Amino acid sequence: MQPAPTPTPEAADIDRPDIWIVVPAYNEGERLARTLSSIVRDGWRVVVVDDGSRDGTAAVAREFPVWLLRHCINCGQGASLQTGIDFALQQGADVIVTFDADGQHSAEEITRLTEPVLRGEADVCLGSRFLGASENLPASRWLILKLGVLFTRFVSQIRVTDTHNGLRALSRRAAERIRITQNRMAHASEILEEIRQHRLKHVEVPVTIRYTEETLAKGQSSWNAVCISGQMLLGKMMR
Amino acid sequence: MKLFQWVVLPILLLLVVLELVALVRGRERRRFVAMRLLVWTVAAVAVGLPDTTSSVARMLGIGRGTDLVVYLFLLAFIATSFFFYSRYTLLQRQITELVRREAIREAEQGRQSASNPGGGQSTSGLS
Repeated sequence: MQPAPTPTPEAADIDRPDIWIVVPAYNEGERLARTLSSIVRDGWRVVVVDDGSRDGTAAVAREFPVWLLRHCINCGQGASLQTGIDFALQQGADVIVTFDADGQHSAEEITRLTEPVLRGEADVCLGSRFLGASENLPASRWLILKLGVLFTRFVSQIRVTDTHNGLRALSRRAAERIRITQNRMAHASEILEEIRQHRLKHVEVPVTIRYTEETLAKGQSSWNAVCISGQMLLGKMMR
Repeated sequence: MKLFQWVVLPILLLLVVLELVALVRGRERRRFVAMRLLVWTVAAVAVGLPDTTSSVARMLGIGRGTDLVVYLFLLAFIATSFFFYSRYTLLQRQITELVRREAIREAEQGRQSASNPGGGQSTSGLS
């Protein structure tokens, strides 16, 4: 007698929602390995978007079971996110999580972040360090981030506690509607505006952001914050 | 005539003649040639007969001819800045779209295919 066919892993996966993690990376060769090993361990589908890096970012990504997309020139984080989202949608993603490459997010929080979306309670789930915790957040950065929140409340008319957090989960429906055109850093505010415009349901979930010397060195300076606000306003005018 | 006029007027007149020739030959787009022709002619008039700008300025209630010229330049500068910024934004978006398509078309998989959604080494382009 033939034994009953055991279900193949693919068949068992049919009902499991397809969750994709989009990791935009620019010159993150040193930190990307740590970030990827933490996500890959949890078995997520991962797409790394190498945004025209000049270091070994692509080589590092190739060492992991991830998809690698390469921008031939540097286009900015907003553009990289959109590329990763387009690809994930094309591959049939049900939920898309955006995750920074520099190791400031924690992979354990992905599950918690996707839950409201999977339960259908929200189209977009935004991570908030101000509801959660920030390790080693300097006072100056705190002030800039808070100003960013106020600025967004005023300009984009959306009430959130943390506007510039790279950790978010989008439902397929939301990912199909949100279109990032701000290539550089102003995309964070743009995503929020798109959420408001398309009337997508959003919730905030507390997350922990780990600041290290390296991430702070590479992160946005206070002066950049001013430039980003300018870019965002100009971008609104030029639409 | 002042020295300045002796130097600048011949140059402007030469430019006017060159533009007229270009207009007759019709190799370049006429709109651009006509626009340049207009600019050189107005400049030649303003340099050759400085009183004309002053009288136009007085007519508009601005005061001095120099002020009129400054105002016009300022307006033209702002208008061109906006124009070029919007062109720049458009170009940037188009370039990004090209880069994106190429990136997705050339998608590659890293070591060990733990996730194999596409079932191949590379996927087809954007659908």
